[in-house]
Amino acid sequence: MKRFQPLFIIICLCFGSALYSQSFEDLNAPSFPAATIINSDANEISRPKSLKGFEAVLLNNFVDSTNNILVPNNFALEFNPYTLSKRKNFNYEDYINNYKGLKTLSFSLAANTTYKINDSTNIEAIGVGARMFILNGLPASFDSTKYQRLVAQYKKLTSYNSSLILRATAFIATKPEATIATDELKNALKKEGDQEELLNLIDLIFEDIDATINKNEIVEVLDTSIKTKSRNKTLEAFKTYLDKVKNERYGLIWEINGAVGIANAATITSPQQGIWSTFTYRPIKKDENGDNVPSPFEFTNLIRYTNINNDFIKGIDPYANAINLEQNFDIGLQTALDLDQFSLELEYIYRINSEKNTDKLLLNVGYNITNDILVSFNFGKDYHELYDTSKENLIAGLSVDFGFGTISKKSITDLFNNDLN
Amino acid sequence: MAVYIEKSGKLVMKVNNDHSEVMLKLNTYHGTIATVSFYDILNNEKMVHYGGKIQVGTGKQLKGKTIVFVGASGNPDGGQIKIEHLFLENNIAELEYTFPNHYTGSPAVEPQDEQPTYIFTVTFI
Repeated sequence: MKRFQPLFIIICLCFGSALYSQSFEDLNAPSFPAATIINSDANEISRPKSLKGFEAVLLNNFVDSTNNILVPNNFALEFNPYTLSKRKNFNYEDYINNYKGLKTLSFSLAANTTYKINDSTNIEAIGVGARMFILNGLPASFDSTKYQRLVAQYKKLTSYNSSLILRATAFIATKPEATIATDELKNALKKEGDQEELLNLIDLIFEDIDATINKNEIVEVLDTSIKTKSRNKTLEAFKTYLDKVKNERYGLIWEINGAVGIANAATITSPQQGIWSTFTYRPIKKDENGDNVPSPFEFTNLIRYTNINNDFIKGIDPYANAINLEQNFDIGLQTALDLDQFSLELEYIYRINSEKNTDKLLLNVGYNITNDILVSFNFGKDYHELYDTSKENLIAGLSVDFGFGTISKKSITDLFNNDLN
Repeated sequence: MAVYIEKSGKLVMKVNNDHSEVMLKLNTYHGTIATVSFYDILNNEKMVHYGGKIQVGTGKQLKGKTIVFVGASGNPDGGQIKIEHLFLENNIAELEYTFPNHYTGSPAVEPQDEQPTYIFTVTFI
């Protein structure tokens, strides 16, 4: 393997940079770097969308009832300054082509009362992180098309909502009686020249309204019906595709992340820092309808620097043996190909350590002979441990799996990777 | 959620010139989508979408009249709702009403309302 290492490094450098990890060892980008840096596993992430909300989240979690500052356990907060910015008359279609750079910059904050120094020592720690996509590809064209339709549809329904409430308000003003026949109201809302879609919407919103209606309740009943029968559903679909357009992107994607851990033991210091950069190429291809769809191939390149402050850790636990992790500079690549029957996943990380360089290799190959029979070959080698060679892992396996229904190639490779880690 | 109705008589705009055009400019912030509808003085239904501008009437037509405006809004990005209504005379903003910041009507605005609908009136003198 040694003689291939320079080749791997050259390939990695040519393709840019990338940093990954939910833990520090995986070739995965930390979607939440502040939590990764302090090994927090918060289940929920607060994402305030206004400055007031941001302030409320901080006050509720970091200040106790007697106004003392506290460190919450498994707390996670993420905010995107662009979302909080003014964005005057925002054009939602901008998210398709222009969602990159500062628009994607997000800051994260995590807190943990059980930051682990060793098996018996936990301390309070706060993680602060940042993440940004310098290049961010494009969404798949079928997602973009659906998204654009939803943007237009939601705007149209919002205008219908405004128009119908105006018409209802004008109608009520002409009626002295307290109770109104629903059919009369319905007919009054329909105007000559209205689009068929609006006329259908009027029929739809009256479907579940009683035959007569109290005049004072008309506006509210109609508004609620317009929302429950049309706008809410479109809004939910809009949000779903907004999320897809922002996060499921293809082409060239270059993400940079950084995080610093801050711990409070005898003194406040930073026990751990990390910088990641991931450069991913997810091609898209044309399907039989001519639409752009994700290709089964994906390539990721990683550059990662992590540093553990051993002086700090040894100050708390003189017997801690953390030198193996002190300063690591990792360069890695991952490539995956997932076809109907065949899959291949290769991951290689070369680690430049202040004491000794090491590497990690994973190879998973799977072939579905039939839907029920999967042949897989897995090979893995973990990083070399400097002081504890018993922890070294080298696994290779050839297996044939029989099952009912389709066997997931991914489930087999996941099992294998978990064994290695 | 309720329809938010602003106090009547709260918004008054003094029209300085009979011949001037009074326009409504609608601006939104933080990703808010909004449309405002109203009947003009000739009872034509008019509508302005966010980012747009529309003529409400001339000074002469509007003096002494009260017009009802209905806004419908939403924010798919989940951010705060903020809708600015600028009533312009000769391109100068003579009256500004921002929902929900300036809202004092009933019921109170629910902060978790994702798609508020609101009604306000403007009296032109």
